Amino acid sequence: MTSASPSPDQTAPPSPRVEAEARAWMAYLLSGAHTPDEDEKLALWLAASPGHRRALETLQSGWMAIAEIEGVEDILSAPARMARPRAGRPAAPLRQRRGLVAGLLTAAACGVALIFAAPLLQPGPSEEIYLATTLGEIRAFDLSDGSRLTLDAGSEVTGRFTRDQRSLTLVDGNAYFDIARQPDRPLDVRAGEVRVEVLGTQFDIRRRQSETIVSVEDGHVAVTGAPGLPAVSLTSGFQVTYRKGKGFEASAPFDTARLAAWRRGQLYYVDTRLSDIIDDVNRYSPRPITLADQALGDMRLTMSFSANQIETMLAGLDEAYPLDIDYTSSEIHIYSVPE
Amino acid sequence: MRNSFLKDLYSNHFGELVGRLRKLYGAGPPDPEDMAQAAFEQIARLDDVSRIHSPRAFLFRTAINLTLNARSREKRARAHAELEKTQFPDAELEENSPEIVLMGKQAIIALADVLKALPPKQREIILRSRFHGETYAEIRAATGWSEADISRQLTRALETIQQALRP
Repeated sequence: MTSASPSPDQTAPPSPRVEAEARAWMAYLLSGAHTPDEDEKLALWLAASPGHRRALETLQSGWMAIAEIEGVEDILSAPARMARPRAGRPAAPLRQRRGLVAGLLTAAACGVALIFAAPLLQPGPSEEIYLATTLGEIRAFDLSDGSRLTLDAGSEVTGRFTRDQRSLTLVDGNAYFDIARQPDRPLDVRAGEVRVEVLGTQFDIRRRQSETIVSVEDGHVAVTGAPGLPAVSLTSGFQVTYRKGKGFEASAPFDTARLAAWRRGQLYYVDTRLSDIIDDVNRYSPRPITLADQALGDMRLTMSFSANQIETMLAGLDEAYPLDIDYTSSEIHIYSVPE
Repeated sequence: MRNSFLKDLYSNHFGELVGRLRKLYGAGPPDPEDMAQAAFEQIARLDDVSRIHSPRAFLFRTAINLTLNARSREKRARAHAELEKTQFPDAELEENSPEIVLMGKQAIIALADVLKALPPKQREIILRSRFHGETYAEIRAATGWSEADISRQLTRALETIQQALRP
């Protein structure tokens, strides 16, 4: 009796990788921008495994069923639930944030490294990259080319590696890139309007709401911003800040040891706006921290603290400055008080 | 028995259904009353109505899909283009088929819970995509958000939906 290869379990839940692919195809179907090429790839993907079709159909059923939700038209058109002006991280109710964290965790059993090769979808070797960390999680990821990425908490990197090009995008947050040198396969990283081109080097990109900072620890990179702006050439020990609508500031030396500190969960700030600090700290805080007004956000501070001692840091702020802090179950709100 | 079920359904839900559709689509086109009428015709054609746990929800869903189909037909005609297939190749079939895969009541409740908790941006994108059939380009034109951002936000919302549907 010959033994056939075991047939896939018809009831097994889809793997995180298949679910992620199903999401990507669903988003493609909803985009309204179809190409024969992509349609063909979708057909190949669907044909590759019955599990693929099941995953997409489950998602489609869920999507269609949205219209069965009681009062869905009111739920979807409800205005943003923001009680007070907020700074820092875009406001989302705590429940959702928790759900997101839990979801990211289940998405790939901790750490969320969905690095999926998609031989069926691409002509030639190509690798799709999706890396993400949850609130408070700092994590290093090794890529197939020997590069190593360290993601700060609440950060996300996507990308695609092909035979002759490596492209990454810092979608959100802060990451340290230790890029393996491959002269025939250059690498570029996008962060909003900012684009960094490298051959092999070590650098750090921090995306905040108001600015993006590129800091080169070793090597040499070219940084470009919005179309029309001259490119900035950065070498070891220098950093440049890009502000949307304003362009690049002059590049300046930075303290590499201090910059590297976040990778050990230590945060250092010298003469930094409170709103930028809060932007970073919200990547670690289970409760979003909000600032009552712009003037408070513009206050400049020099401080150092551990990412897991945010409440201690806040208590210190409260003591040293003319401000008060409200702790509710869903947020931490900082507001000025007269001196 | 069946007829009286449909009759009751009609008198209990027709007015409300039209009201909900008006809220979403205004006066149309297509005319919300026509779409409500068509949705009732669909339900009347089903062989087995017992599988529908909430006729009211089913009618609404059917009317939404019929509206989207009508709109996309109109869009295609207007554009004079051999546009892509319908968003869901099976969508039109679905409403006529007795084999509709309906989600369980619990799944709908779970979906409702996650939908309420989504960030406003993701909710707006779902509203535009699912209920108005807008493409990314149309959403971009209306909101100013980039298509990459729209795709990312929608993908995140889809992930939340997947979580809600996990057994």
